[in-house]
Amino acid sequence: MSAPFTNAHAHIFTSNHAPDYFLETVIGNDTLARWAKKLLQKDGTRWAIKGVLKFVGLFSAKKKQIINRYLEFIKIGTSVNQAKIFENISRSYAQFPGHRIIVLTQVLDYLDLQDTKSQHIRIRSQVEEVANIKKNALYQNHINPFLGVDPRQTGFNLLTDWVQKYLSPDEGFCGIKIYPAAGFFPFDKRMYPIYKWAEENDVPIMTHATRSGSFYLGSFESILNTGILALTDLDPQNVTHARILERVKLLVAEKSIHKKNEIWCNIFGHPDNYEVVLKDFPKLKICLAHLGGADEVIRSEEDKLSSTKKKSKFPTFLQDNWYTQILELMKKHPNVYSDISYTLSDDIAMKIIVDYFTTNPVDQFEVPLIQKLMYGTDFYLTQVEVKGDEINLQQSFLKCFTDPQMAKIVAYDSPNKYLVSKIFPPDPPQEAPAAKASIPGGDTNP
Amino acid sequence: MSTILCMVLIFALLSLLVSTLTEALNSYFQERSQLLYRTLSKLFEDGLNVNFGQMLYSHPMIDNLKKDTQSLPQYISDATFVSALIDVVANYGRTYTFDPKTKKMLPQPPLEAIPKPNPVAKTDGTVVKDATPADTTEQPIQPQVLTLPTELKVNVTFQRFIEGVLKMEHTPLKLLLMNMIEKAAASNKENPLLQLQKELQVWYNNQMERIGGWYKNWIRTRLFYIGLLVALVLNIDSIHLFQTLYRSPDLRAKLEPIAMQLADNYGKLKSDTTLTNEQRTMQAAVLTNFIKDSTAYKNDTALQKVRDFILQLDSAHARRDTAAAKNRLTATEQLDNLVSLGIPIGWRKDRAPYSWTLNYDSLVNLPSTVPGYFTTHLKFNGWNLFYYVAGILITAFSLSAGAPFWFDMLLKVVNLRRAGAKPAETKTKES
Repeated sequence: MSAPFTNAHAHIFTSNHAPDYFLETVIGNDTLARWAKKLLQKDGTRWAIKGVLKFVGLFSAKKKQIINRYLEFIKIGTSVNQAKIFENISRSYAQFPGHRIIVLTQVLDYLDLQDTKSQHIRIRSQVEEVANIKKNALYQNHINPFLGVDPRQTGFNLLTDWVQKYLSPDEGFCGIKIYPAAGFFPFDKRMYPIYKWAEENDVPIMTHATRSGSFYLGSFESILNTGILALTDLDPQNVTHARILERVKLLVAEKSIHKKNEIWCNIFGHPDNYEVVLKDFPKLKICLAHLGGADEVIRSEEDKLSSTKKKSKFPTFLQDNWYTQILELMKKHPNVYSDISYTLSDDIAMKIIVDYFTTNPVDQFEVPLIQKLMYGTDFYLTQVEVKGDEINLQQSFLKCFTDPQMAKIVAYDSPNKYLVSKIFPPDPPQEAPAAKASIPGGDTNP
Repeated sequence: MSTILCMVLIFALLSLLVSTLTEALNSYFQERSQLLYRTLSKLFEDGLNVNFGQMLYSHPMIDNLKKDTQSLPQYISDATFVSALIDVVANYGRTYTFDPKTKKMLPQPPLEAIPKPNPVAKTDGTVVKDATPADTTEQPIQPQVLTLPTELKVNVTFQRFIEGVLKMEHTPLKLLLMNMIEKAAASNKENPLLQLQKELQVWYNNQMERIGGWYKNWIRTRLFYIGLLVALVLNIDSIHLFQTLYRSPDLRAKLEPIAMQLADNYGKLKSDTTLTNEQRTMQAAVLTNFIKDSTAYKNDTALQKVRDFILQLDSAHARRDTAAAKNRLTATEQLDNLVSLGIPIGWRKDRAPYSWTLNYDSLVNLPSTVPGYFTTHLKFNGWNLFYYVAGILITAFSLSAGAPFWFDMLLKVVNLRRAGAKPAETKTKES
């Protein structure tokens, strides 16, 4: 039986699952953020803004489109019910019979350890709501939930009471989602029992691997002085470890960026960190999502592009290219995957990616890298992009991957291989013809 | 007394405008619904477990109360809350099994085969299913964590609820729910579920009473800010208002009969228990006959704008056609009529603080016999600024008391006025 069309990267959590101060990531002031949320989550306000935009010539057509997209993003994000959001994305894939969507639950409760409001733990409700969607016969064949895990979760055993509880056929969660930019290193020892179990059971892990997104909101000093930076286990003699230690050392010295969380939080999600994990768990199946992000992809080809070089906001010691590093990790380790989610909304970056993968690069085991690249959209966070609509992204994908065989691998086979584990073994082969998909060649077994 | 009566009348109508504006804003932003959501979330927020308060909103009984995906129900009855909560906790306690053949997740045991609700809870809180089958839905259970009477008859839902609670991590919230189960089991051995429902209902109603208190405090703050906004937009300086009324017997003579009539109408409506306090004040204003003096002053444009804003909010909230919305507008129109009688409200160049920005001599329309107070009031100086700011703040603070307070006050002052002898002739105080 051929694999179904799979979106390997989507979110359906709402603003109710984020701490009250979450909007501060966008709007600096707490009160302003609260009022902005109040205002913008009203249909009437959004309608009024759209109406004003139509008649006021202050903004260019592109800016108007961006504002409209932000309004759409807020509309989805402030929905009360995750099931409704899932219904929304699932409908976009109705043309792909038996489609699957990997829904990533995300721990947003520890974005500021000093903020007392962060005591309001919401991940359990977020996860339980998704678990209920998985149990709903209407959706259960289409949703593949991943469990959000954060080493700072306390009050229970993270492996037995959280991961093993939900990652079972009876609960339906089939992978783990981590988000280091929220304020922890992937090589945090508290994660090791989970990595060990995941490696033993081929359980897939998804991690955020771009410089953008949401970040830890507390101060740099609050992290630095509490021993949360799990650096003591790093070996200065090891080349990778030494690089990480050096990066942190330079960051401590560079006081001017201590208040710029979107910059210094890069140390958590840096691809180097996964090298440490993969050294201890070489067979760990992990997807470094977004291929480092569109900016990194474009930067990798900067010399060849005619456009002028953009001035980087990052200090020199944080300017290494995540895209090329992720490709290196994919080549070096057998189970390192990546996806094109979010990056898909950028045409220039996608051209560079497709051009590269068309050359059929292989890893050190002679396995084509494309077999470890997955289709994903990062729904609904892409709503803010001009071409961020789910349907637009599907079209972009089909337009980029003109070779049907490549498209089939990225959207069907790679995610299928990624999702298979000892907990969710592959289906036994059947003789029944595969369901026809819209992509030419989509119904052909590799 | 006459001046005070007129002041109370003006504050009563202004507070009606503030209440109307507050109510329209609250409806638009769903403040009540949001407060209910936050309170229910907080009720079940123990920092560790699933938040049943949030989960309630996905329950079909409550989900169906929503107008759209963004809105929340304004009110959840205690019966609906209890029913939905028991379901949510019971569903949390359910176990499912994945059937590889059908590829479906099925609740276990199947509902028709459930009649052996006999999980034995270990001391660590985990539930172990009893191996011995049972064939009745009512059977005594003896969990080790919960202390339940042995002769207790348990139905399936009660059993599921227990399973849900036992599945929780150990926190004060879990203890609270466990205690409720034990109390229910101890006081009604025949039908503990019924008793549990009562326990939950009492708990919920107590919380709702507290919400009522919080909402009142919160609304008071909002009324103050909206009062301040109204005072600034309509330029209502209480000190100047008092001074004007004190010095203008003609104006008082026009206002007094209106105050009497309004108080009478309000007094009659007081006995109508079908109306809320706000509805009474609104109705009283609608029923009162305000004589509009179109020759004295033009309608205030700022007030007109405030009324238009209320209209827009109402229409955005799809409430334009409701009787309440219509009453609100009529009531605020009455204020417009009152202003037409010559009350110093609104922004005009012959009125402070607008007059401060102009050269005093340029105010050519000033009557030649402008009394002393009014002359000095039109000029800018430190004291005038101080009195103006104080006047605005007094207005905002007074209006935050709400319309029912001022209408009650009006009734009392009118009664006092009627009890005391009316002065034969009001002396002119302007000189």
